[in-house]
Amino acid sequence: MASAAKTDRTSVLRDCHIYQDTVTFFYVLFETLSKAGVVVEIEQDIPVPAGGHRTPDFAVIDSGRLADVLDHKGSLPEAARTLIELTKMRARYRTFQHNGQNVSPQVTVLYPASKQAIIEDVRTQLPNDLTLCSFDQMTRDTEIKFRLQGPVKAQGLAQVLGTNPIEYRPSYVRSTYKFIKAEAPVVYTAFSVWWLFPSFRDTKTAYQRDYTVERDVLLSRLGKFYPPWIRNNLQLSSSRVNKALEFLSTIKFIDWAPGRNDIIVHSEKGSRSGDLLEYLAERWAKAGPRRPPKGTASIPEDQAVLDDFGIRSTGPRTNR
Amino acid sequence: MLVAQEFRNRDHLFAYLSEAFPQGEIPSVHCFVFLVERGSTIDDAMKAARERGVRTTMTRKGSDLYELSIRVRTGFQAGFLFPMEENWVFLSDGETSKLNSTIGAFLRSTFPILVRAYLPSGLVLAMIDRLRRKYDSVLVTEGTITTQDQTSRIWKEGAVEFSAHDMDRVARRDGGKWTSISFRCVGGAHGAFSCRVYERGHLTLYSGNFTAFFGDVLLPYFADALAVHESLRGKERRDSDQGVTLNPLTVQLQKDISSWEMELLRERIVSEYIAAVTHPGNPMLMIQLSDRTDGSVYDLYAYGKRLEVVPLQKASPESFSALLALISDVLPTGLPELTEKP
Repeated sequence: MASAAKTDRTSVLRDCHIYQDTVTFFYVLFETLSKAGVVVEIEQDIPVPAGGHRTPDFAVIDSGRLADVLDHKGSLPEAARTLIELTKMRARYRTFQHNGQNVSPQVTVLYPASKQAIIEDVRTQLPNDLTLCSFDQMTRDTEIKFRLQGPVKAQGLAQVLGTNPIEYRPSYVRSTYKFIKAEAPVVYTAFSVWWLFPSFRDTKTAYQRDYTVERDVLLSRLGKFYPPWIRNNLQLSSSRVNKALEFLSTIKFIDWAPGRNDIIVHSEKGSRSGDLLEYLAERWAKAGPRRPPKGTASIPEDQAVLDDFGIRSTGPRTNR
Repeated sequence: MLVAQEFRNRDHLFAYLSEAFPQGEIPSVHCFVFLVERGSTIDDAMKAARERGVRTTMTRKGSDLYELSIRVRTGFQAGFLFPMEENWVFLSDGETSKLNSTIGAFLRSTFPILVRAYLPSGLVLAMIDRLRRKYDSVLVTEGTITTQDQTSRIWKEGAVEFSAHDMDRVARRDGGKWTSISFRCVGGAHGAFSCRVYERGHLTLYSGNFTAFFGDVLLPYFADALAVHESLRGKERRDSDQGVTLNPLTVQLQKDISSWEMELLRERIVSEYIAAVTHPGNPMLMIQLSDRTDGSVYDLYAYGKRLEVVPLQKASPESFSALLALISDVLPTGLPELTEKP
C-alpha cells in the first residue's frame, strides 16, 4: 500500500514538473516565433465548419491565412494510446473556418524527444499528413532543441523549428508566467496558492497563527502569472483554484468552503513538512481518487458559465 | 558595566568612551547595527519582541540615547541604543558570545521590523581598504574564514599590512569568505585603534580611540550596509500593460555549482522558508520560496556558474538581505552583483 502511494506521489510530482516545463515551452516558442515575425495565436478558439470551435495549442497565421496548427504533448502514453490520441487529434484539426473561408492547415505534433521510441513504434500507422517534431528541453535547462520531421507551411515557422537550439534565460521565462494551459495539476495550483499566501500578510501581525485572505484578491494575484496573449482562454479558471482550495481545506491548511470569499490561512501548517510540493503530492496521493465535493455537479457544455476570469467553464459547478 | 554609568545623551556616552578606552577602564565595546523596516519604528520592533516572548525594556536617557535591556529566557544583556539616520546602533560592553546569543534571539523576534545590517564579505574588505588612505598603516591581526564545511579562525603570527587583493586570494584559496576581520589602524589624525568587523552588522572596538573608530569604521560600515540594503529595495516584479518586469539578482561563481552544493542550498532554504523544489535540476535547480514571516516571495535558480534570485510580488530588503546572507553561507565564494554598489 505504501509502495502504491509512493508511486502515485512520484507521478503527481512528475505531472507538476511536466506542467511547468510546458509553460516554459509555450512561452519560449511563442516569444521566438513572435520575434521572428511569425504571427501565432496560443490556445485560441477557432471555428470549424461543422459548428463550434477547436482550440489548438499554436495556430500560425501566414499572409492572413491559417497555415499551421501545432499540438504540444508534454508526455506521451504507451504506443497504442498514443496512436489513438494522435490520430484523433489529426482528425480534429482537419478543417477550420478562418477569415470566412474553410482552410486545412498543416498539423504538427510536438512531442518530447525522450518519447521517440513510442513514436517509432507507431510511426507507420500515423496519418501520412501529420508532421512530427520532437523537442528536447531536458538535456539543458537553458535551451530547447527541435527536430522537425516533415513539412510545415509557414516559412517563418520552418526557420524557427530549424534553429537549434533555441536558447533562453530560465529565470526570466519561469518567473514571468507560471500558468498557461488549462490542466494545471491541482497539487501545483495548491502549492502556488500556499506559496503566495504569506505575501498577503502585514508584517506587524506576521506572527499571528491565522490570517485571512480574500479569494477574489488571491485570484487577481494568481492572474498576474498568466500571459496576456492568451486572450479568450485565460486558463487558471476559478474552478481550478476552488479545487486547490478544497484540497488545502481537506488537509486543514486553510479554513474555506465553496461559496465563501474569506480564506482563513493556518500559517503554522506545513512549516515542518520540508519540501512543500513533495508534501502536498504525498497528501494528494494518500487521499486517493477524488470525487466532486458535495453540492457540486458537472455542467453540460451548452450550459457553461463564465467564471471570475470570464472563462467559459464546464467543470464542476460550485456555489460561489 | 557600561550601563551602570549615567549618560545625558549620545555625546556624553561618546565622550566617556573616548576617555575611558585609552585608560583601559572598560573592556571591548560591541556595536550592532540595526536597520528598521520602512514605515516602522523602534517601538514597533519592541512590541513585536514582547509579543514573541522576548522581554525588552527601553529607557530614554536623553534626546538621542536609550538604555535597552533584553531578556531571553535566562539570558540578559543591557546596553545603549542610539539612532543613526532612522536606524539604530546598539552598544554594549557585554561578553561576546552571550551578547551574540541574546541579540540573535532578539532580532529573530523583531524580524522584519528590525534586522541586522549586512555587508557582504567583499564589501567589508573594500571598506577596510579605504582606511589605508587615512592611516599610515592598517594591520590585520586575525580573521575568520567560513567555508561550506567549517569556520576557521586564522591568527596572524605577526600583524600584516592589509591588502584587499591578498585577503581575497587567501579566502578563495580556501573556498570561503571572510566573515570577520580584526585589524589595527595606526597613524591616523585621531590616533590608533584596534577593532573587529563582521559581515553581519557587528563591530567590536578592542582598544584605542573611540572617536576614530566611530568616524572611520562604524559610520562607513553603516553607510555601505545601508546602501546594500537600499539596493535590494524595489526589486519586486512589476506587471503593467507593457508586460512583466523582473529584477533578478545574480550571484556569480568561479566554478559550476555542484549537485552537492545544490542539495545544501535546497536543505537550508526548505528548512527556513515555505519552499519547494519545482524544477529538480537537470542540471538547473529551481526553488520557489516565500518568507513565512514577512511574506516576501522569490524564485531561486541555480545552474552552471550562476545563481539567480527573482523577487516576485513582494520582496522586502529585510527579507532579501537575509536570503542573500543565507546564499552566501552556502556558496561563500559567490559574488552578488548588486546593481547599486556603495
